Amino acid sequence: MREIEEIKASVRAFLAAHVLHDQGSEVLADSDPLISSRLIDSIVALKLVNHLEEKFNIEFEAHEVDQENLDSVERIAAFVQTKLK
Amino acid sequence: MEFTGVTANSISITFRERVNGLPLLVLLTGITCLLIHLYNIEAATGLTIIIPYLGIGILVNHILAVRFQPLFISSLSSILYCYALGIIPGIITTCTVLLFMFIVRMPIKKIYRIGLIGLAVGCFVLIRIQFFHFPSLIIATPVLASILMFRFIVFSYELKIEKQQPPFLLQLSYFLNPINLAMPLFPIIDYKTWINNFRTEAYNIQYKRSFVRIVLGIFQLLLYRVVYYNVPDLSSLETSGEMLGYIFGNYAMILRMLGIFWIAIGFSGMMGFSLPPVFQHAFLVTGFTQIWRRINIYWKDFITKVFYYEIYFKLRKKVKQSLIVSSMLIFLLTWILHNYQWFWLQGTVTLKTTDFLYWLILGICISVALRIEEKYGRKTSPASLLHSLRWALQVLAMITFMSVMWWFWNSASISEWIYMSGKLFINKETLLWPAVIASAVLIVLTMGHQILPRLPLQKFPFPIALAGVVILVVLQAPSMMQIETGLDKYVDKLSKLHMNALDRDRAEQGYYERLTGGSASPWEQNINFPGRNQWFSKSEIQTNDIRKRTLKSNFKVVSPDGRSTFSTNDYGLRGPSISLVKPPRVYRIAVLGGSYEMGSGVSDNETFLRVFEKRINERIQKSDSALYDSVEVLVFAAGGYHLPQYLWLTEHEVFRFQPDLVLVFGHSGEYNRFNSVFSGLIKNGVELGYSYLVDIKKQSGATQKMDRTEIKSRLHPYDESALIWCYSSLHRVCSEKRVPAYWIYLPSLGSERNPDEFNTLNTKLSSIGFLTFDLSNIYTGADQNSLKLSEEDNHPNAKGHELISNGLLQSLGDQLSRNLRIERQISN
Repeated sequence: MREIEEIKASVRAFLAAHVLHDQGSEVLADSDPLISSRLIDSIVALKLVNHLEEKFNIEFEAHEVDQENLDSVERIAAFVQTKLK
Repeated sequence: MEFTGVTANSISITFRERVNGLPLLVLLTGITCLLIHLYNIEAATGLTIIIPYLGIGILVNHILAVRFQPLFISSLSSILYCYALGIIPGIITTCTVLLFMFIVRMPIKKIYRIGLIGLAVGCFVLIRIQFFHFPSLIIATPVLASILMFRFIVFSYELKIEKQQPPFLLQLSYFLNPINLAMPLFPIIDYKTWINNFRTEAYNIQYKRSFVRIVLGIFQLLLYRVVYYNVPDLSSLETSGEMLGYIFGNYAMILRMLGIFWIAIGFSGMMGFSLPPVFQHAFLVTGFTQIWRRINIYWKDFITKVFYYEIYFKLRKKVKQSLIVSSMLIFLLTWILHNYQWFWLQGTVTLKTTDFLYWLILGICISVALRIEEKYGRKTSPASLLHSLRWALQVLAMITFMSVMWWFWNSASISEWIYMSGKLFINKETLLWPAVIASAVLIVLTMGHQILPRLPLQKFPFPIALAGVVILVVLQAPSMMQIETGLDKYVDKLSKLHMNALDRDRAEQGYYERLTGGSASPWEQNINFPGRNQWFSKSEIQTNDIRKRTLKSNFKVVSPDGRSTFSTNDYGLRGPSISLVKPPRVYRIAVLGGSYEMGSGVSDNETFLRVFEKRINERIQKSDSALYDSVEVLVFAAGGYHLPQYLWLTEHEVFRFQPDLVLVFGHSGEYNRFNSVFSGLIKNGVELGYSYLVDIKKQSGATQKMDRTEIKSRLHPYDESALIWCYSSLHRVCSEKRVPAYWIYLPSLGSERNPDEFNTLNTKLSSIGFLTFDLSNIYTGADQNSLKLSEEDNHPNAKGHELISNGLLQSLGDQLSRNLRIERQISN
């Protein structure tokens, strides 16, 4: 099973490349809201899902793309980990 | 199934804490109720009526233990539905919601559940199109539609995937909440958001934020009124400047939706639901993707969650550009859902090409912008002056784009839009003012973008909202203390949503036109003005001549309250029986007029012409020298009649009754009325019968296939000449019969007098040979609102008719005394 830190690092790398750009992902805390703060929207959320599916060889369902699972780095990591179990 | 009202997210609050929080809530609710009352916010949909109950409900809800609050909210809602709709429609509304909730949870196969829901929806479709006539159900259906049409879709979607059922009463409160009653236009709140955000915050934070949202909504609705009063009638516009005023003003009217939605989620907050914002600076979007993200966020979330992700996940392994294809399909779906919404609110479907193209163009623009953003990312720039200027230019460009799109969407057809677009290039020198305004807006936006982020305004929304309240209350203070300030007229206009000139014309004309298949009114108008007094609506039948319709002969109907009667005689004239042959020593006055003269909405004996007739006859009885024994007033009037009908009646009907005098009534906005009636005749394919009118139709290029706005616009240059021709022709017929014709100017209630129009008409009609009488001052000193049938119906009530009758006697008295040889002046 992948370590939760590895998943978080992967999410941070994605956010740095697609959302935060030159600001770098270090400005973001693990618990900072992503969807509810509108930092990521529906399109970025889908791209993030594709990224996670490829990277961790998992599969999301449509209804899983929501605030409950993707609203912070720690939530995403926890959700991906449950998928990996 | 849990019958409590709390979730794991709800915080626990003790009774003492609730009592401590009460004074703040009493203050905020009190101010909210006061503002809604003072400014008649959403009065047409009933908010001002239910606000006292809603206010008390909010306070009671606060004091109750949190677990009982959802039950209280649903119960209050059901009681208010019974109060507002009537007991049976209210019970039907609550029971139907429960029925739908029950069906989706029934432990039967999915296919049977879908079948049962389909059956229930099918029944409501038949009721909505009035296939069945169950009055209680007809009343309940639009309300139910407002509650269920989208929320039930979200609810069913969540049920499919939910792992743990939330408390039943909280589920019920999602559908049954009292705010929805006065706001049929309700935001599509997400079910999960509703459930998961119940009592999750400290009272004072939640209530203050909700209050700020309500005040913001009220300000937006007041701003909407200012825009609404000043947006011109598209069909009457002739220059580039006027057209631009219309295009931007028309888009600015979305302020109403913004205001309603902010108030709706503000009240939801006061009841314990901490909902996210529904808009994010809707007028300050800088790109196509922001249109999607910031204007009506709830709609975007609904579409994304229920449809967009589902479509994308189904397509992503089968279609190459699945993101773009999904986006495009979503806009197609949005178009379908808007028609679905329209059907439930209106009872009809309008499959307009402009509607489809609007969503298609918007879909393409946003999809392409999303693709570009996906590829290159969102760009950020340093906060320099140049950056602010670029931002301001982008905002202006997007407002222009959305305004043009909005105008296109509101156009009846593409050809109408193209024709009206041509007016943008006429008299381009009138573009000076729009250019000045655009430059000023650009400077304000640029400076605002530079300065506002540096001010700590966003940290103090509550004090700012309170300052706003103080301004609104101070504005009302002089009128409350009955002090005249000179601002009264403006404050009054702001305090009540009066009809603008265009809607006033539509309301007077439109109702009668709908009876005979004329153009439909905008959906908002139907929502806002449902209470028109239509008890006498069956009094008319269609004709094949230019009248289009006439009153049935020997018709009688009593109003539902039993207080008013509408009856016609053997000849289809409103009034008592008369003989075709004039009896000896009877003086007959034939009246040509429209709904005012017919006495729309008042009883037979209350119409001003009947009161006028009675008063003259009383004077004749007292006179020793009168040439006549009595006067008969024959009313050749019906709703929607104007000059073409008056002329036809003069040629074919009036002189069968040997009148001694013909009275022709004119009202405020004669040219517009004529234009409206003439365009209606062309649109309905009525045989015009007069070569002059046929020639004008030809010269203007107006045809039946065109949309009403285009026909009206094409006819405008001919309004004056055609109107005068009709008057001349009418007068010529009277002269040939050696009967005098008088023209009486009777201003419409609630309209502003246009002295130019009146003076021109007065001069021209006098030169034709009419003896003219001006009743312009009859309403002076009277509260015009107290003379109207209702807030939405500008026709005079019994008191108004009495006043008009007095004015008519005053004005015509001397002349009639001479005609009748009465020694005592009638006017005295």
